Amino acid sequence: MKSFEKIALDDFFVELSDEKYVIVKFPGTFPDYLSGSDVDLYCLDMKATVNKLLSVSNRYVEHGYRVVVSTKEDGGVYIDFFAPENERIDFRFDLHQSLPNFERVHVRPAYFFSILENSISIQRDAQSGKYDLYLPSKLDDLVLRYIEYIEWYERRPDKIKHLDYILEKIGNDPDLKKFLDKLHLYTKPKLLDVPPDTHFGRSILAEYNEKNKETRKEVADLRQMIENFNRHLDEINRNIEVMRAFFLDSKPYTVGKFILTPFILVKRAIRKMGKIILG
Amino acid sequence: MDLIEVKKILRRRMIISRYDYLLIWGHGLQHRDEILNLLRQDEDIEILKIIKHQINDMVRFVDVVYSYDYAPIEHLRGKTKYLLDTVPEVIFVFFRNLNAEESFVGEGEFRHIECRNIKRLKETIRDLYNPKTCGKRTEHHVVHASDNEMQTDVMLKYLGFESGTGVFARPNFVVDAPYHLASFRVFELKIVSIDKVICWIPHRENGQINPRPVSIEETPHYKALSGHDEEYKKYFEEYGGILLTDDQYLEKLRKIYGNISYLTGEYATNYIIAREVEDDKFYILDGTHRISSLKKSGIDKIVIMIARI
Repeated sequence: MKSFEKIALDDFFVELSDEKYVIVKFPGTFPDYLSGSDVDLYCLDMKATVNKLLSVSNRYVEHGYRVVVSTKEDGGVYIDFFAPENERIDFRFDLHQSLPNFERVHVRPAYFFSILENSISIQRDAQSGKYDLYLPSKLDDLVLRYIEYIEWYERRPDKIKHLDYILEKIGNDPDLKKFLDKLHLYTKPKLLDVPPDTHFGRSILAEYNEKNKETRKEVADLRQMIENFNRHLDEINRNIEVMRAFFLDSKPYTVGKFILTPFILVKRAIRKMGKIILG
Repeated sequence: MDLIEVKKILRRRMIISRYDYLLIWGHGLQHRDEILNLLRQDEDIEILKIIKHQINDMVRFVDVVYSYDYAPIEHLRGKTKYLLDTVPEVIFVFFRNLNAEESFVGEGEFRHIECRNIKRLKETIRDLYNPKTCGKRTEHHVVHASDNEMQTDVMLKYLGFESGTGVFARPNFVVDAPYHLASFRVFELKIVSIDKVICWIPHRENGQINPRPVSIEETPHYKALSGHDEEYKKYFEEYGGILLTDDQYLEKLRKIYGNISYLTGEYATNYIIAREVEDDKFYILDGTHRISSLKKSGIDKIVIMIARI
């Protein structure tokens, strides 16, 4: 019985020939891979794609591989292959049915379908014959690299390689306009937090905090004013209640009412003023 | 892909699929197997659940069944009077209608939408099995069927399924697991020794029915394949429609055994589903018929799906 040292990625993609997908960040070593690596696929029909990959997986499972399939919160799926008697993931298919959430840039959800729609195919030779592999178009490859650069450059300075790649590919290319058009149509930068632990952050943050200090003082003063006003109002209310009780208990009601009315009116006026001041 | 294939796919996308039910009244139960066979032969019908129901109050039950009918209940009283004299036991057959050819029927205040396929099916069954007088079919219908999915939802809720048609939601959206399993987001494919898989069989003891773990060889399914048909028939007669609500029958078991093609062709991802209870020991959740057939065929190791529920 044949035993497998590594999974043959060609076999899986031959099975996916009729499905709509693209391989994002096509690995240069394909179909070879390093143990622990993965491939990202954008899929139109997640269920069909998973089922086709699993149908190929069966022959690996029969030879001792374990395959673990996990559904992510966003509906994406991991298909993880574990070689026989090994607890570490040998290879992962990371399947997406929508764009990931980016922290640094807004990307319209429709861009996902644009990538699939405009995909290009490259023909490959496998043991079972020729088949087509689907990748993002050159334009979408540049846009995706740009998004990756924006998303990661602070945390991973090496991601500047994507910017170099874009600049090299565009050069004097008339497609420059299309690249920018697509970028503007589908993406928008997010307002960034100023990182506090950088020279940039320190000067900007200091100015921000200084302005904030004045505003905070004004707010504190206003709060104090309102508190004082409320204390006065409480005192007036207490006085009115005392007088009301005195007149209603000891004199005929109509006399009490006659004397209390001006106080009640004053109280109402003060309340109204308070509302106007406080808005 | 040629034009015919494309047309098939487009047609399929435009087809309405919905949940319906057929109700076999007490006086039709003697024809239960024949009626079920008619449904099984229809490729646009996928039977999901068969439920046996005892009726305590027939008048109220008839009111519930016809509560969302297009005709007011007062109009139906005359038509349904005969039901009060029937056996107070019915069978519900819930199914997915894969080709609901909805159209308007009737006139005036009785005009309503119904599925032409269901209408045809109902009339076929009634022509065959309604009681006859002088050789002519009476209107003492042996079956009633839903006009629309809302009526199916109402009946499921009446029977205690709070989510109505939501009960048929699949537990995992990437593989075809049966709806009656709890949902799971992670599963594993693994090859295991077939003898490590334990089956669950309902068992009546002291008036209560409880599931009991047994080996594959002890299941009525395996015994039927070994020539003991009666035990399988008795098993489904006793528990069918109560604890066993899937559409299972002896011919189907024999067909599975005769054409065993586990995880090949169009069944490449039709896994036997189990849950790991101990190291290397698995309780089956779905696939007792298939595993019995595989065991009887002499298979000693199988690839199963271990659902992490």
